[in-house]
Amino acid sequence: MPATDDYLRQPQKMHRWFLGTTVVMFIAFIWMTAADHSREWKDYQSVFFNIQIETLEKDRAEFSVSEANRVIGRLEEDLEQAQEGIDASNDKIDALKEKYETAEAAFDLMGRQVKSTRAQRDVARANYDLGVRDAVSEPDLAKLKAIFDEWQAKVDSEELTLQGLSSEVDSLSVMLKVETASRDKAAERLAAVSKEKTQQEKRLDELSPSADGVMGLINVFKRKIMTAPIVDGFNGQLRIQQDWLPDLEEHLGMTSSARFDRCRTCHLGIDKVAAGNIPLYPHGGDIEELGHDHKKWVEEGKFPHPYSTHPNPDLYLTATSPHPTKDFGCTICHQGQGSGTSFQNASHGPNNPVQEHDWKEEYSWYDNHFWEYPMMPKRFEESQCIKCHHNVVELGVHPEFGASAPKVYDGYQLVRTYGCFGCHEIQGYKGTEPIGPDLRLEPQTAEEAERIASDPNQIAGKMRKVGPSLRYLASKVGRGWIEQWTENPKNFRPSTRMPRFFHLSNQQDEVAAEYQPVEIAAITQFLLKNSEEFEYLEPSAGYKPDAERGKTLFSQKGCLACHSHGDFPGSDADFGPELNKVHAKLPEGADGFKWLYTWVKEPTKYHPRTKMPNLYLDAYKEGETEIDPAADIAAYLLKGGAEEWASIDVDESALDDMVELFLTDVLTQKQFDEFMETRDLSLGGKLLENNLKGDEVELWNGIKPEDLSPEEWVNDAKWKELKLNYIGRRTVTRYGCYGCHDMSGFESARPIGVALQDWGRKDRTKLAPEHIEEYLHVHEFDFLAVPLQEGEDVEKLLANIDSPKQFKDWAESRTEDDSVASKPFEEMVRANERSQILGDIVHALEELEPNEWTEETYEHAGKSYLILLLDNESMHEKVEMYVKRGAADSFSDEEDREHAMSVSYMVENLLHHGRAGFAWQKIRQPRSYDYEKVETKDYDERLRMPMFPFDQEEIEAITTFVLGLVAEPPVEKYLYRPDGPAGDRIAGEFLMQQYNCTGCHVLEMPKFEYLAELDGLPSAAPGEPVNSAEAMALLHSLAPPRRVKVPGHVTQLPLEFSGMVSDVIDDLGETPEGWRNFVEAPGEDAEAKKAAINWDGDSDPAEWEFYVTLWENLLVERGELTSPVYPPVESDAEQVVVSLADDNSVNATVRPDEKTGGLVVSIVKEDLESTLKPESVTLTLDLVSGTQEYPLSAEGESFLLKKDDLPEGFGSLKDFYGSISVKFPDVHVTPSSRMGFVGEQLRSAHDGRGGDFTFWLVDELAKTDKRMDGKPDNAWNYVAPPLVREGGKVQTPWLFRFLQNPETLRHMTVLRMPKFNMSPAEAQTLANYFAAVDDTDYPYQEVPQRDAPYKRAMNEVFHEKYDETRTDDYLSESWQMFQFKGNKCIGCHTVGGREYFSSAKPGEPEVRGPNLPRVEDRLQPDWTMMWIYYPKWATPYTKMPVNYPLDKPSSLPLFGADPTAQSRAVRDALMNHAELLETQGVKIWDLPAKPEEKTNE
Amino acid sequence: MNDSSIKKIAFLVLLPVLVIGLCLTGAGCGGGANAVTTVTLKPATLDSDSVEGTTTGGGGTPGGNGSPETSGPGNLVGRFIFDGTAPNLSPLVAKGATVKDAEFCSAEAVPNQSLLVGEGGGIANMFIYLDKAPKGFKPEGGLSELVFDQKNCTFIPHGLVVQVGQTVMVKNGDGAAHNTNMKVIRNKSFNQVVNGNDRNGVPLIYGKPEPAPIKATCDFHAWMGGYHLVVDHPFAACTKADGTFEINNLPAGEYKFRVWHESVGLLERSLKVKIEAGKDNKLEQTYSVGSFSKL
Repeated sequence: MPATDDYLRQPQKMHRWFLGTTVVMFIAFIWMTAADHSREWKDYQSVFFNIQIETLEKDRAEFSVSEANRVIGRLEEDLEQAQEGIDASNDKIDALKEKYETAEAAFDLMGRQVKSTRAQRDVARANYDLGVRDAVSEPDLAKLKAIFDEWQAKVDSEELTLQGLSSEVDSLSVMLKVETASRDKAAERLAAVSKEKTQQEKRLDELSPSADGVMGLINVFKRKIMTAPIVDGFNGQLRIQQDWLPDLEEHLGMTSSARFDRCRTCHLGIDKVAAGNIPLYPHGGDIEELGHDHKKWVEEGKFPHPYSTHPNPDLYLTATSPHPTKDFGCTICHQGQGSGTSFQNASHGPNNPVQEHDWKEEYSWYDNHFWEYPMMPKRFEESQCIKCHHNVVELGVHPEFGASAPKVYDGYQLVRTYGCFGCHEIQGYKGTEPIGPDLRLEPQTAEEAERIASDPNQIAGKMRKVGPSLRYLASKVGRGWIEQWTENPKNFRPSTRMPRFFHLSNQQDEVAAEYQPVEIAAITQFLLKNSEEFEYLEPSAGYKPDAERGKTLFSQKGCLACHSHGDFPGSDADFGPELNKVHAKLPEGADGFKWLYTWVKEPTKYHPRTKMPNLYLDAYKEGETEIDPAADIAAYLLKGGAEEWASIDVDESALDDMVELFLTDVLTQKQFDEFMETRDLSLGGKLLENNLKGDEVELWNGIKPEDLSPEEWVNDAKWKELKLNYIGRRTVTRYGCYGCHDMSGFESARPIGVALQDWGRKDRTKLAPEHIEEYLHVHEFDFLAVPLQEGEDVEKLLANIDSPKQFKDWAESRTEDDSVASKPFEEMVRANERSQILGDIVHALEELEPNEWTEETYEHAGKSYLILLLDNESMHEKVEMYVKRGAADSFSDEEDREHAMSVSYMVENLLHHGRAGFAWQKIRQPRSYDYEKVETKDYDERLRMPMFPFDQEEIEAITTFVLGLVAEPPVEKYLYRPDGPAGDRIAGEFLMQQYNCTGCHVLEMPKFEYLAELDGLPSAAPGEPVNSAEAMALLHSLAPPRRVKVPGHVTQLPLEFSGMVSDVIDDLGETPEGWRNFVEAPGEDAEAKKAAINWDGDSDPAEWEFYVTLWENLLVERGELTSPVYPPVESDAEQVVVSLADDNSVNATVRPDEKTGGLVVSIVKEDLESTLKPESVTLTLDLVSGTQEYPLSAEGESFLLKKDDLPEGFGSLKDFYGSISVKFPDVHVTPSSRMGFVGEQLRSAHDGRGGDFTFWLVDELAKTDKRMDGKPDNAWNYVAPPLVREGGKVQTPWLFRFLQNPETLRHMTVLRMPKFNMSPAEAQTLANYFAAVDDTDYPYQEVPQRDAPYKRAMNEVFHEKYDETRTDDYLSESWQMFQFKGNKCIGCHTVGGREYFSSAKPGEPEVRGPNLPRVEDRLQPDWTMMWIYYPKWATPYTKMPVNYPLDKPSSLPLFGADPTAQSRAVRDALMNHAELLETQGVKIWDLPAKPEEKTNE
Repeated sequence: MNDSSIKKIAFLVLLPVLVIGLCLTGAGCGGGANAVTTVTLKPATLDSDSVEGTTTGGGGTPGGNGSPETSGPGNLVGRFIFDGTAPNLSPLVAKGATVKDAEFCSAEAVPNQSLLVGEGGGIANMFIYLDKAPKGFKPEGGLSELVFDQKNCTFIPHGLVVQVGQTVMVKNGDGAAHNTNMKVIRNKSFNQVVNGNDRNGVPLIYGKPEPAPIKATCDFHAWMGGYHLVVDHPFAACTKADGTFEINNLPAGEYKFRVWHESVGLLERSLKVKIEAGKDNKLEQTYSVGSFSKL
């Protein structure tokens, strides 16, 4: 049987199957298409288009309500009229046109003919040339030439005709244009005005085609079609926006691929900015707050995600910013999945559990474990900055962008300050390739430093150990003190940064109770035993230190720039330790004194790498009395006397247990037993010395028992000491003490902790949360505190309280009493988490069982608090509560909310095995990961991380920093490693912080803002050379002005400037106490300020007069006001009112002048009492013949354009097509001007940068030192100088030398620039830093005044101008400026070979300036010149007078009594001082005769 | 003339008219023979802050804003007397001492003038002044030029009353240069060198009144000190060596004066003085040693 279809299948059944599958496939196709078409991002795009349409509509609405429509109407009328005029003379125009066309045709024809004739001529020329080449006979050649000539003549004549025709066409064209000029002009004017309108309509039409007309309908239809499924794939309006970033690769497992960011598909408005980088769609809140009505968004100008524009477009996304979208995309900074086009796929990262919950509801968000790089939540977004910004510093301090990533910068600073890198190395290089921030310890020995320096593949670390050296510890403190300090450093000094290693949560069991005291005693014993011999310095024999004088010296010599002390409550520096109790720790009597004396006098003797500088506290003589400041200060600090510190009595059996614990790792139990028996670690020579090279060396003394008698052999005391040394060394090694402290014998020891350079990518499965979830379920404490009143008896108060509930009720009942509020407690706890609360109280808490409670009293800021500690909550429950409150939005303030959300985030993250949560808990409670694990661990396996006193905010900052350590740098071009000035600024900033330069020096003056009357700004002071172009040019180049641009009509504006308060006076003319509080109180409103400072004095702070000395050059540019396009008026109008300002507040009124027939313009401001005084007024008329400017002349309060000056044909105001520009005078306020205002006008005041100590010292000196006359301005001459514009002032090489070896510069200052413990390279960097900040050329600076060409030129001028017959030269004449009798310079300076003469007794006022011979090496010539012209421009408080006022002839006859020439001569002589002193020497010279006395007395 | 002054005049003119009107209609005023007073406006009117009540008869003029004409202004003639033994202050620079520019500066002893008690206990260099120009007071132009001289490294005079806009010529009678540095508060800084033997002087003009006398120093010779009281009216004086002073042409009324001495500061914040027209009103104040305890 042949095979048929039927044989294989049943056709009918198959057809049914076929039909069925077709239907299914068709449905599937429809479904797929629909699913593919309906994408989340399309909805966002549609909404965004609607937003854009709304915005345009809004603009258009605003536009049409304005004058424009009337203007357009009026212009259209004009156009119509002009057209009518043309129509009237139609015949003439037609005739002209015809003529023109005929002429043009003739011109064309002629043109063509000329072309052909030229071609013929060219042929003739070629023929002739060929004839010459072929050497044809003379007559033939002549014939050819004749033919050429003939054609040439023809060409000439035709060209002439063509020219004639051309000029005819031109003239006809002009004639035609003249005829239609008025219409064309009208059309042009109309076009100009309608342009904006048309453009808007066009843009709108692009977004949403209007259905006007047939074309409109077609367009609308087209648009509809283009959005249809499938078709929309062909260049539809809605489309995926993609940024391709081939250089910023994405690492996917073992491979990498180019990055594609499609974020802008939904975030369409993210980079949309208006001119000047102003966000077009500013973010205004969540969609829940703003609602879903996009019309409302547009109206209010507030937009939700994903429509809003990125904040800070100056820094991000825009083409002019350092991070343009096309180069950076989005995910390199934010992370997330760039290729995702849905909310979920993009791997957005919720910022807290409340948001997470909302996202789950709204977007079905879930934590996608499969994407390695989920978007960083907002709280950690800054972490990514350090991928490229390895220096980190620029993220906190930047000249242009300020603190752009403050959180990660804070984290970095905390890591730096607390020395985390001592244990956790943060390696910034792979070989020499940078991979991230580099925080490594510097080489500890000279050999290591040399080895690294000579290895081209290594870069040395640069961080110093953060703790003090322990190398000579025995000379400084005793056993008892070390023990209690080691046990809990906060016990002695609550503000210390040293963390706590003991009594933490994994040390609460019996084993720890037994071992801890042994460990502490052993560390102490080991440190003391390991301490080296210290060489002390001593004051001269018989010197009697004066503690009272020491106190003054302590306050003045700069100690308080880094340290604080209770005797000086106004100072709160925390760069170095607080010194209140330093006397209590040092040994009693002479030993303690000697140590402190040595330390204060020469810190590097005790600690070669200390940051403490050498303050040059050398002994000096005041009259006959010898004063040794170091001794006095030491005596002052030791005044409280030493304290006794009990030491631990070590339990020997516990000690033996510990020895066994550690030693059995090395020895067998049998060997150990034998050792304990014989006390000989070599076990009778069975073990070799080099088997015992570890910490066991402490037990090995190398002597064999048989060499000694039993009595001489290790006796019991010695034995115990050996064991303690061993345990001590083990413990030091185990806890890594050498990570922070310099210790003998540990120079090459490695950090003990996990390296952190790629911790941000740490494999999450390798984090071991294990029991932590359980721990968080049962552990969390809470506390309640009640402020106590003086003399209250705690026991009595608590007599009736038996439960936490009762305590809470009681606390609440007390809050009704106004002296007790629970709020301060909360604040106190939060503010003091770093102090004893965490140290002591948490300790107490950790001993509590769940649901137990206890109470403690706690002292803070002179107040006592009763604190109830509860351990009845679980962290887990607490977070649940936080999340509930967050969802209900029931937090009392933003700070509380942020704290709760931060904690909740971290806990949730930890429970999901996140890195952030892990780090948080690790820093917060470092040993909690040992929860219920100590039972199964040996004592030496327990976690060792100590507890640092960080609060939640600090932990988050550190976590942010650590999460950014990813060791996967983008390609080179993305790394921010600027060289030149920008790089030097960064390197300099790093050192500024390292050496606390800003402790003494002001780098930026404080900033003030007050409501200024522009007319009332100060003008020049007497003698100020504001009229000298030369002086002003110097000022502008050395102190580039802060430019404030204001519209010309503004007469009052909030003006910001930097300066220092010089005087504050109340209505009695006296300085009121408390003014500082008024300045510092936040807010703008004087009433609010008054309330904030709780002022109860007599006078009204709102009326206090403030005088702030301006430290910068201020230029208020009042600019020009120009009216918009002319406003045509009705023909019978009497005046034209032109609006000059956008808000219509200033108008110019133009009317014909009845008297002269010209135009009168007056400028009127609506709300102004006085009239505006413009500098000039210009009228711009748009005439048919072109635009013309007419300057007006002032005529009383108006401005006039005379009839004669008016353009021809100007008939009436109807012809007034024009605009008016009004220029207002700029206001220039020079440095050192006193900005005076009353308290009411003060808007805000901000600290500048640096100089906290100096500001304090200035106040202190003004109060206590008679020489200051009570004036802070005087006191500034006695303290560390501000370094504002230092780079433009000093020569960089000099600054380098000075930093290395600071000489005495200012003779008046009460303190000296100390010598910092810095390397030459560091000094160079700092010197460069200042030059870079002030945009000065460096490192080499020229002093042309020392060069021959300059001298030659000056000589020529000198002889020519003053006396041709003289033989002496310019410089020797200049030298005379220092050499005449009664010379001014010599009054205060050593100069010209004559020394400063001092006659003042100590403590009496004396004004002495720096020695001038060093000027030539120290100062820059331009700066010196400006200084001589007007010293206060550079340093407003200076006592240096104006010596040669430029505004009048000098009374000195030299250089033709020209003050400018004299000033220059002084500068040039200073710049050549050494040479002149050598060649000219000292020659006292008599001034010529006195001028006659004026007789009008 | 601005709006507000026009209004003020209108008010002053209208008010009596109104009063007269009211009186004519018999509403109040008692209707006595004195009911109508002829009032003329004075050129310098006084501030109600400084003047408490006026010696006027009837009329009901607005307090302070234009009192009726009386028989003219009065003078204040007074003296400040020291109660106790005058301190014997040693000179700032002894004669012949080795100091800077000794040939001028210690040619004579430089006296310590921080408290000078003259014959009969008069205290010299006391400043007495009104803190504010009386409202509406218009300073007369043509102020004479003052001289602030420096001789033997001493300022002469030690205390000087200066009016705003008045020129002070800062001169130098020593061979050595001085730099005159005024410790201004409200005014522009002045710190200029006056060359040796400069008898023409450097002009110093103040633009604003100062709240209290300001110190003049010379930073070359740091012991030098003098005081300028800068006011925007003529109602201020500095006592002479015998402790006397005179303030003339004060419109009658009661005033609160401030009294200031360099070693204390403000001695009186509001010393009440009643000025009767056309008289030399006497004032004699005594200060005990205790008042100068800050010395």
